[in-house]
Amino acid sequence: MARYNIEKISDYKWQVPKDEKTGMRVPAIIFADTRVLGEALQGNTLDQVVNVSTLPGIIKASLAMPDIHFGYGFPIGGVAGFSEEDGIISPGGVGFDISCGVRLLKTDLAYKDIRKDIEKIVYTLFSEVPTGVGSKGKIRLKEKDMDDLLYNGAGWAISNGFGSVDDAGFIEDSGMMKQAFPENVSAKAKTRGKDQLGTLGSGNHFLEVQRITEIIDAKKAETMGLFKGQVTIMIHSGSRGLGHQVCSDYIKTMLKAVSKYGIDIPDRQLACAPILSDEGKRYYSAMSCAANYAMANRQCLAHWVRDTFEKVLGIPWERLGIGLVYDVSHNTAKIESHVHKGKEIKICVHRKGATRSFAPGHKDIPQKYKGIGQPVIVPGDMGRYSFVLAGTEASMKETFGSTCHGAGRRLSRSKAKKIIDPNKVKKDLLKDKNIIVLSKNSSGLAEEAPQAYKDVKDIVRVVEGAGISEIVAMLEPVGVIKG
Amino acid sequence: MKKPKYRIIDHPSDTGIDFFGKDLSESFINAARGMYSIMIEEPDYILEKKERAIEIDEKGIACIQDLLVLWLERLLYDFDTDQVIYCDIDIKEIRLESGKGHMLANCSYTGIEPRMVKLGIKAVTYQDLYIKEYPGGYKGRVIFDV
Repeated sequence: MARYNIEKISDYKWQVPKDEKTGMRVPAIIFADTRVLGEALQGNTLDQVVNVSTLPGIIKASLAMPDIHFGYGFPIGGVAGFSEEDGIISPGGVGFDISCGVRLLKTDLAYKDIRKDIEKIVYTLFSEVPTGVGSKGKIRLKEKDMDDLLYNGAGWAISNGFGSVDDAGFIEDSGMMKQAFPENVSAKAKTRGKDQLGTLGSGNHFLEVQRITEIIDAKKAETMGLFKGQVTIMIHSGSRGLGHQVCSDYIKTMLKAVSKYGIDIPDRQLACAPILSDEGKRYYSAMSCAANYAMANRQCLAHWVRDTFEKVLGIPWERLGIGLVYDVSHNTAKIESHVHKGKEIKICVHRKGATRSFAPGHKDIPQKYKGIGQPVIVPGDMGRYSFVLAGTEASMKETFGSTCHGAGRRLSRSKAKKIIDPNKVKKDLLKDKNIIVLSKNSSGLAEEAPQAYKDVKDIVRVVEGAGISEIVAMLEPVGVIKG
Repeated sequence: MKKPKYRIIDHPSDTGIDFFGKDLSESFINAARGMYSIMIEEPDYILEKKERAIEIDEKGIACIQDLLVLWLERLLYDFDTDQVIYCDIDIKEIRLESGKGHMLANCSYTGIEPRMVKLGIKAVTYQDLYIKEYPGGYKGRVIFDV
């Protein structure tokens, strides 16, 4: 790891100055406190944050959220905004799992009232929701369906009977990124995705039944429809094989583009093209399609959740109040309007393992939330807690309206498998915390065990301290489904 | 002492392999075996074998690493779409010529049962990717996004 001079700007903000390394166009800024800074700087992560600062058209800074860790080219937990006019777009700045994201559903149910039904709910979810590697969904898409879905996103799912029209308003971009033209997605990507719609996936994807154990901001919680003791459901999934293939396809396109446009990159995974080039526009369009697929995927998964609760409790899901709080994406590049040097300009904001966190009053958040800011859903791990936060005005100024996305790994996968017994994980969570964990693959449980992850409380404390999000509620798992 | 075909390497957030071979073909085969060992619980478990030829013919291939990526991506694609793994791989041709990459492999493949699967690989990355010739053979590294 190259050693850098890191300056403290505040208790939650650190900077590698622009002149620290040749080629840097802007500083690198890390949001961390002294507790997480050490972990954030481990290995070559800071090199990656600095490398991003060398890319053409970057605005303000290469930003690192407190859950920053080593990725491919761009770090995970990285945010970078590029001028639409003369900046670049990079698949490495989005990630392979395009629009991997989290959806939070609320219910009108109190945990204490359905405690006896939780086991049946979790087991039924496990049998109803397709999970695991190579899992095929219950939905088989024909070619025309696929193109409609890639264009319309969650709207396609809703118009095909998955959920309610009210849901769309509580998804980023109303569940449909514009500029999503399916001709920019390869046949290979479509083939990979055609049987995977409505599947959870594997690895760190999950579906969790939770209860709210703490309300930190009563006013914001009330606006979001959250209350202490409430049953909620969190879904973490993405664009499945379709998104992975889109990224793989366009990395190759961009590797050729860097030579064509004379762009110097310190790392092949930073391969990119000017946003307004043919390659840049095609990637943006294909990425938008993949994001639409991901949002439709989570819409379908939410449908199975509603179905399950209805089946087990014998009450229609609408009467159970199973509504959508919000659906956020972690891995995207979006053309947004932001104020820079006093002027509003179009910026392509890359969030790779980072969440949008728009301020109160922002035009792109639902009317219901304009008074409090955009809900931000930050999952932790299966043994501790997750959080709901709200976006702030400070995030618009500091981070292009962005914040953290999760806890980040503490142990590598291979280390976790060496030292953690997956069967003990399951037994201990049930015995000590009454958490039911069901997984198609028990060896994966070691890799996803709570002790393999950082404490997400440390992360959200930083973003709140930095002013880029405000904590609203804490949620704890009662049932976890893993692929 | 017998050289390993591959070994799993530690990575902060994902996973990868170092792989070895006496020649380029064997190293490509062992890279495939290493990738499968991450994904499948019992790589030697055979349900029923069928035969298939895999041909890769691609322009704009700058180096042998890029051909390796295409090879492993093809195997991932077939795993994802057909739920198959290739168990006997015989690489007949492997070459780079004037920016074009070409591979031809005769393979037998088998279907996989869900219980055999332990971890999904999303993609082959270019992070730390290399394949080099050394005295006695080839070795390389590839990291996977999981």
